[in-house]
Amino acid sequence: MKILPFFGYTIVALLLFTGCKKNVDNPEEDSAHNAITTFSIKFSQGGVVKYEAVFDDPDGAGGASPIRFDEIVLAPGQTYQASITLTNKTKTPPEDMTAEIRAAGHQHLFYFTPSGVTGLTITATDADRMGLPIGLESNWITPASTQAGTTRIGLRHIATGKSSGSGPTSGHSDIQIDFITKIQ
Amino acid sequence: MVRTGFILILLGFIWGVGAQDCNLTLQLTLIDDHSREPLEGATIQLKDKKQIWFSTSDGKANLTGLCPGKFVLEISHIGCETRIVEINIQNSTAREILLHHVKIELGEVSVTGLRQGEAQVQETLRGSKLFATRGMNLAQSLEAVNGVRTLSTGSTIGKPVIHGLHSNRIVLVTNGVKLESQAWGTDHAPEIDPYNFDKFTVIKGAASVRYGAEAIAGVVLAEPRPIPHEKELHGELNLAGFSNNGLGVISGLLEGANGKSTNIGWRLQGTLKKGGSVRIPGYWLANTAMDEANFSAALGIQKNQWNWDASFTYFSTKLGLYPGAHVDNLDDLNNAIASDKPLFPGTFTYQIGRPYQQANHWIAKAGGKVIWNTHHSSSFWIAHQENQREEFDARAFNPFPEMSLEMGTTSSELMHSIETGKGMVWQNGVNFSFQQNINNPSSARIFIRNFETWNLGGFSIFKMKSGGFTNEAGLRYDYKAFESFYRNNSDLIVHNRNFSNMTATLGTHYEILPGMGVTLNLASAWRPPAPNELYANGLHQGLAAVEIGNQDFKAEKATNINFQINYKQDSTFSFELSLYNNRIKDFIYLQPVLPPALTINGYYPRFEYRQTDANLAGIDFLTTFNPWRIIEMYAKVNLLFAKNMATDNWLIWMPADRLETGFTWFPNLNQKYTRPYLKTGFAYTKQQDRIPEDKDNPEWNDYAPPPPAYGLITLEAGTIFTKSKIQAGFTVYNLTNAQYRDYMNRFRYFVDEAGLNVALRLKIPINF
Repeated sequence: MKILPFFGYTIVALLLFTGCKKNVDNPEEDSAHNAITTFSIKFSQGGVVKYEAVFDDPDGAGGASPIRFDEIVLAPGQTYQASITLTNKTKTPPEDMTAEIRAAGHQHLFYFTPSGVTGLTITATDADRMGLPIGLESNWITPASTQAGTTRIGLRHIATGKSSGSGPTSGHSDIQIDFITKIQ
Repeated sequence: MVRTGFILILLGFIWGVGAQDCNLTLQLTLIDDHSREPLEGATIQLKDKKQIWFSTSDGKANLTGLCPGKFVLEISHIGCETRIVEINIQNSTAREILLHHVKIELGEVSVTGLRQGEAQVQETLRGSKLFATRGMNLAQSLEAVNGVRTLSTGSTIGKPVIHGLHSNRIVLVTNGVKLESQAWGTDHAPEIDPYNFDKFTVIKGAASVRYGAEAIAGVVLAEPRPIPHEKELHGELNLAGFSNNGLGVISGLLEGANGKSTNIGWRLQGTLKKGGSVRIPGYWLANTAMDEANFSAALGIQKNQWNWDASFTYFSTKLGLYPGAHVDNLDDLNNAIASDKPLFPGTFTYQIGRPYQQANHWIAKAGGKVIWNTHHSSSFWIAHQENQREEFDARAFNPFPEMSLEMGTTSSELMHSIETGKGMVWQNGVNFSFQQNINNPSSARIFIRNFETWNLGGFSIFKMKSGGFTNEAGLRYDYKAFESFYRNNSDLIVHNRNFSNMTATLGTHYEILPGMGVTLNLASAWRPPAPNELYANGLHQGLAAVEIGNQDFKAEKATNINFQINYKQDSTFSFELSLYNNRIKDFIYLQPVLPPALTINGYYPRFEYRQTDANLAGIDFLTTFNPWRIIEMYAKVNLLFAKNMATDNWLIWMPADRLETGFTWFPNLNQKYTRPYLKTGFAYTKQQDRIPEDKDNPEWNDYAPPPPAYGLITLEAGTIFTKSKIQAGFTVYNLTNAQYRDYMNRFRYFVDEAGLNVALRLKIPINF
């Protein structure tokens, strides 16, 4: 048995493996697929947008702070149709995530928890294919009196699928924003 | 013994003088293939029985007065198979010969595995002691070594902790090659199949001189058994089963050799492992199944003074992660901590869903060793390894993992060894390595940048044994070039860092009295910052933490003192006391900072990597007492004091003090059973009270206070069936099904540790 050639070949083969990984010095752009960086909720009456509140953190869960974080300011004793839009700004151009969430509606649930704003009633008006609420569309009935507090708007991702018992602690959290809320 | 050996060698010499033109010398070094220790008192006979030699305490025998040409030697030693070796020499030369170990070692069930006569504090795990850990992961197995603990993520992911330090601060050497993987992650377990190795040596303390950068806390050497050299086909089947999570392991091995003067030996080995949901007292944990498939192939060729070897090792694992520990923000984490029951209970299943991690690793190595003559020998190897790691979080939006990294490393070593005789050895070597890390498409932001690293190092180690002293001195220089690549808004950001460092070691071991020795070792080591410490900038998936690195970090530098005194009186009494102090300059750690980071998904605690000076001091103690040779009592103590010198605060995530005691009963059964034993142990782990306290911001000390102290009872039994040589073992972990949490487990925020676990192990030798 010719030993030396055998080992020679092995070593050459090993060195060939070393063959540079071509893209080490040419990385892909650092963007997050399907990340949600920007949340917008528009309040309309009769198809006319009366108010918009935005939370915008374009680097996602990176080190930088959000660049825009609005308050929700609504008039007392009114009914609004609220509509949520979600965007991924780590992508160029920014990617609209709303349709994706709607398509996977049976795994997603928005919840609305007012605190310190007595009498604010929020009800989801859309439904997934199982007939369970999603919350991208909702109805907001404001109290008659002037008030100030917060509203937590959260999105739960329930990978195993939603049930009628799903709530703010089901599955995992995708979105959780505490908007300062003023009824004035 | 040594003296008799000398006299007989002398006699051999005198006999040999007869043949006038025959004046060649062959120096043999005889080594036990089981323990890798030199064999003293081996008999070496020329086939025509005219001459006989014996090996001395260093396993060496000088066969003098040999004629040029071919001759046959018969080498025998108590406990080893007699070996017939054909040798052809033209000049005076040297050879290394392994003898196959057949005797079942009796002493191996004892708790100590301390290696004597080394100028560094180290301990080995093999034989029955290793057998009793089979089926568990590497970190859990190494806990059998005093001073080694585990950093875990649940009960399936574990990383060894030596004297309080882990991950990038420990070097894992498998079959001579440093394992290169994403070691920075606290939930990234080493990609090693313990069944592929039959001996683990833990070097406690800094060991950069021999093993390069990063060996700040210690080194774990995993060695497979030597390639066979006898003409026989031999196999081994290992089986293990664990009751807690229905874990089953089957591991097989087949090896053989042609046994000719140009010996070609080979081995094939493979392991399959599958575990289901983990049971904690009262609950099954959702998605905690795992599976693993590993194999290795090795080839060794011995021709004259040349020894060649080549090997290929493949490891792959898929680990389910308990979804309740994969939290999304501070509120989620606080909810999980506040809940006294698991938020994600499950049922028993072998299925793995999201979140999970998948890691594959292969290493190909080729190398050789040549003994030029009685004084000079050289060794060299080259290896390439590829590590692939993918982590998937709970969202099933798209097929992309949240993290997907590929790392390739080519490394090599060339070493020359000079033995001057009289117990002096001088080793000089160079190491080279090249590493590339690349991000594959993933659904999350890049946590570890693409990078390339070049590393060149040179070392020189001098060892001397004389008059009860073993002295060692070493020096090393390393140069490391690091270049990272990152693209942000289509701008390519290239960042370069270069590191160079000198390290040194000085050690001595002295046998004060027969059975009593002291070891003192002073060593330095260094570690370049890991890529996450340099560039992390954002959410660490699943950890609910925003981590910020610092690309200007300096390298960590450690100065380490180890002192050990050990005593052994026959087999009735022994003790081993180790004191250590590890001073680390520019120690990198995660500091919680305010305010917490606000994201669209709520608040995350924010952590910054910082550098400080740290000091880790501790004690490892072990004593055994076996007055009647039937019951051996033992006690172990591990203490650790780890301080951040700049803030005079304790360092976070350090193992709590532990005390362990128990006894082993060696009943006198009939000859059918070899060395049966029954062992019971009680381990008490204190509540960690050495934790950082930030009086101004108490909420940022830790998410939750350290869990309370706990005690665990373990029961173990084992024997070897004398006739069939089948080794069997039985262990009950957590006998009382105690509900507890350990400070070193990241799951301590979420759920209890695993409950009662009964393990059965079998090792079946197969001879064809």
